[in-house]
Order: sequence, then structure tokens, then C-alpha cells
Amino acid sequence: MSLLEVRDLDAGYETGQVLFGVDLDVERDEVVSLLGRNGAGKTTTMRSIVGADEPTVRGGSITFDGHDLLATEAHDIPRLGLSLVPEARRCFGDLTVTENIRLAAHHATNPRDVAAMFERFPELDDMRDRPARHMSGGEQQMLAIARSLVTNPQMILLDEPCEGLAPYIVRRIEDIIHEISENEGVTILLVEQNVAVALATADRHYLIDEGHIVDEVTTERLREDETLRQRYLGV
Amino acid sequence: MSTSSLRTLGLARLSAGGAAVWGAIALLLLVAFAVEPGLFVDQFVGGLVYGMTLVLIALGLSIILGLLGIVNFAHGALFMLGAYFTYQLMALWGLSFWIALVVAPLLVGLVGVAMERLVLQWLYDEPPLAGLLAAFGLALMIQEATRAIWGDTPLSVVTPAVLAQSADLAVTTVARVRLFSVVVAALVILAVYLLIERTDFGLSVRAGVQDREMAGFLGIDMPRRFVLMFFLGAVIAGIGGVLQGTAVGMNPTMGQQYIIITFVVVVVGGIGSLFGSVVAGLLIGEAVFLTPLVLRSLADVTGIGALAVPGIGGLVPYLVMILVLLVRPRGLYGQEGFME
Repeated sequence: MSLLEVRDLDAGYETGQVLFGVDLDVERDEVVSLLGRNGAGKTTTMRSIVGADEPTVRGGSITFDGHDLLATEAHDIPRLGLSLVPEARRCFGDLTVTENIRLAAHHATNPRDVAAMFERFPELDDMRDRPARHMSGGEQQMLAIARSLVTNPQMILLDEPCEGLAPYIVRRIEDIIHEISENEGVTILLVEQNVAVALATADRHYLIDEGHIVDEVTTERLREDETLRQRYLGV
Repeated sequence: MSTSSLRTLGLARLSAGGAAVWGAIALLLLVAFAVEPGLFVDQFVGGLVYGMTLVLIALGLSIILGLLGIVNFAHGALFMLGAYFTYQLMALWGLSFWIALVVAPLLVGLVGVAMERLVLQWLYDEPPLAGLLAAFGLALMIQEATRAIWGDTPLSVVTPAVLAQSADLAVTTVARVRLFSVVVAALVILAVYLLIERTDFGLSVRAGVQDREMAGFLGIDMPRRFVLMFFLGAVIAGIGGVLQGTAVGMNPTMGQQYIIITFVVVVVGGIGSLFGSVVAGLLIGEAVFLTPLVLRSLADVTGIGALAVPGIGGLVPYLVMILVLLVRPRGLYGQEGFME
């Protein structure tokens, strides 16, 4: 059984249905990407998995580590070991770096050491007492990942971690994804518009278009098949 | 030129003039003190008591507004219940003031929780107007219930002997009960500060105020915290009610009277900022009590009788609000970008 199983998922907002029968599996220790254009349904898929109030899930099932997520309260999902690093990072701007991490650790069942996070992310060490709002986008992204990692998750959902970041910071985020996957055994589902990031980090890729999973491909095929990329990603 | 640089320029000009403004205010206060020192201290203490009462109501209002986006107009009714519960406990059941000081706020807290569980929790995801109207309805219901139970006439309780005496402040004497109110309010404010800034519970509440959904994604059970904060906000308003009821007395419209000014306090302090509410509450409290005195002293000194505008005290909170919002739409300590 896969760690994360999404079956025949229908979901949408008041304005209309967005996801149509989405099927998706992520095995333990894999890095899988979900690729698609703007508005294809990537973030809606992520939000459905973590039990956000919106979108409304109208059909299908989502199972994580044997637990039925659709029957689980959103605030209980992190304690199953599934953690979200959301689009636009969403660090708590008025809280300091330490407070952001401490907050997440405090509500986890089996958290990692907060101090260890600063060894893990030396960039954050110098700005422990800085309010998150006064950090750069790249620093905030690292904080968002640290905030997730401190909860000691089995799996992290990474929603567009490289959006709007300078190329050298994108490289750093790619390295971090490698490290937490390979050295720390964390499974990752990555949502990206940036194909290069997905190619550099993921083992397998789902292509989503207008709310349908249209293909599932290996990194090799995605790299070589330009028509495929052109058709579904416009690159 | 971008609006932000325009604003920076405006603020720079203002802070250059800021020193002059503060200097002028200090001078006016000094004149008022010189003309009538006894009255000045009287009014200063009056402003402090009034300001602290506003702060006690504003804390709960501000927390609930920041956390839930609901303008809880019924918060004034909770303040009023604090006073009437004190009357019930002391005058009708013969219990001591000290018991009332503890029990009445807890009872008010329970009313607050009932309010949240039975009515307001269903409206969190509705447009803000729905919560506002429901809270307004609750305020009217509690007010009319109070009228029905305790009657329309103003009531008061007998001040406990130890607080009934006056304290000698050299130029004047002040009823101890008023100083006691100020001390209790200050302790409550300190306790709230420590809870919000120094505990893990406070940390989760601050996170929830900034991004409720994200706090939930981190595994924080926000609805449970909403109930707790509602309880806490109601208890604090209840303490304000006990103090007000003991020092001044009570009537069924006191909730309405106070909630309007308290809302002004929250707006002036900056929505979502507890520190702002404290500063704004004290500022407005003092401004209400000292402005008439300052103007009268000024009229005395200059001989221009027209300066002593009658009834200016009631207008002062709104004048302060207009002035602050003109310069800083987010309020004194409001979140950056809010209403800008």
C-alpha cells in the first residue's frame, strides 16, 4: 500500500468543480512531482489532501499511512506525520524565526529538537529573533521548510517552493529537497510550475491539466519528450 | 512617485512637527496643573480609571476581532453583566466584595462561552456583517433581560470598608476604590501580556490571529482556542464590570455606552494589537477627562471664555479617532498594510 493514495478525487469551490477523478500514489521514500499550468488544479489537490475548509471534496478517497484523511479533522492530520509547506510560504510574519519553529514543534507528537533546526539551516541561525516578515523570500521558504521538518513528518507536501526565488536560492532549495529525502527519509510530494526544479529533484511526475491527471511519467521521459512538456506545461 | 514614498515623506514631516505637538500638549497640561492642581489630579485619576475600564473591555474585543474577524458588539453587555452579577452576589445574596470580584467575572466568562458556542461560532465563515448583526442582537437581548431582572433604575453596591476611605494625594484626596480599580486593571493587563507573549498558548493565539488556516495546518486546534479566548475576553470584561459597578454603579445601558467608545479605542490602537488597545484606552481615557479642564484653564489664563467649550469631553474620543486615522489609517500599532 502506498503511503499516500488519492483515488478518484472530485473537488471544487462554490464557483465550480476543479478536480475530476484525480488518482495519485506516492510510495514511501519517493519524491514525486505534480506538474501543471496555473489553474490546472495543483494547489486544489494539495488543499484537499490536508483537509482545508476550501475546496469541498465531493467524491473519492484520500488515504495516508492507512488513515482516511477525509474522515480526519484538519488539525489532526499533521500528527499523522503529513506536513504542508504551503504556497507563498505563509510564515507567521509577526513571530520570530524561533517562535515560528517552536510553535510547530509544540503541536507535534514527536518533534525534532528546535535547536537542531538551526544547525540544519545555518542561514536561519543568524536571524533567530527576527520577525519572519523582515526576511527575504528565500529565507522565508527555508523557515517554512524548517517549520515543517521540526514536526518530524513522514511526508512533506511542498507547494511551489521555488516560486519567485533567485536562481541560486532555487539551487539551495533543490539541495534541501535532496537532503531531506535521501538523508532523512522524508517522502515528498512537490507541486511545481518550474519543470527544471521537478526534473532536478523528483523521481516520478504526474501531469495535471484542467483537473485531470493526464499522464504519469519518469524523469527521463519528461526530460526528453518536448511535445509532452509543450502540451501540458507550455515549456 | 509611489504612494509609499509619499507616505514616508508625510510621516517624516510629521515627526519633525511631532516634537512641537508633544511640547504644546505638555505645556497645556502644565498650565492646567498650575491653575488647579487638586482638580487636575482628580481628573487625571478619573481619566486613569476610565481609561483602564476601556482597556479591560477593549482587550477582549480586540482579541476576538483579531482572531475571528467578528466585531463583538455584545462585549459591552458582558461588561454590564459583570456589574449586575456583582449586585446580585453582594446586595441580594449578601456575599463579600472579594468573592464577587472572583465569582462574577467567571460567571460572565460562562455567558461569553455560551454566546460563542450557541450563536457566533456558526458565523465565522459568513460575511462579517452577519457576525456583527448577531452580536448586536445578543447585546440587545442581554440588555433587555437585565432590565427585566434588575429593573431600569441605576443600582449600586456598598463599597467594602477598606476601599471606602480616601487616599491622600497631597493636593487632593481620591477614593481608594478608584485606585484599587486602577491596580487590579493594571495587574489584569500584565497577566494578559504575559499569557499572550510568554506562553505557548499565547504563541498559538498570535499565530492564529495572523493566519488562522496556517495555524490549523500546523496541527493547532483553533476552534478550541476560540472558546478559551472568548472565555478569557468575557472574564476580563467582567472584571471591568465588577470594578465599575463597585466604584460608580450600574444601569442597563452602560454596556451600549461603553462598547461604542471601546470600539473607537480598538480602532485607534490598531486592530489586532493588544498593546495598541492599552495605549489607546489610556490615551482616550485621559483625553476625555483632561481636555475640558485644559480648555477651562486656558480660558482662565487667556481671558477668552469661548475656549471652554461645554460638553467637549464626550466628543474627545471621536476627535482623537479622526486625528489618528487621518495620519495613520491602520491605527497607532495596527498591522502594516491594514486599511492602507
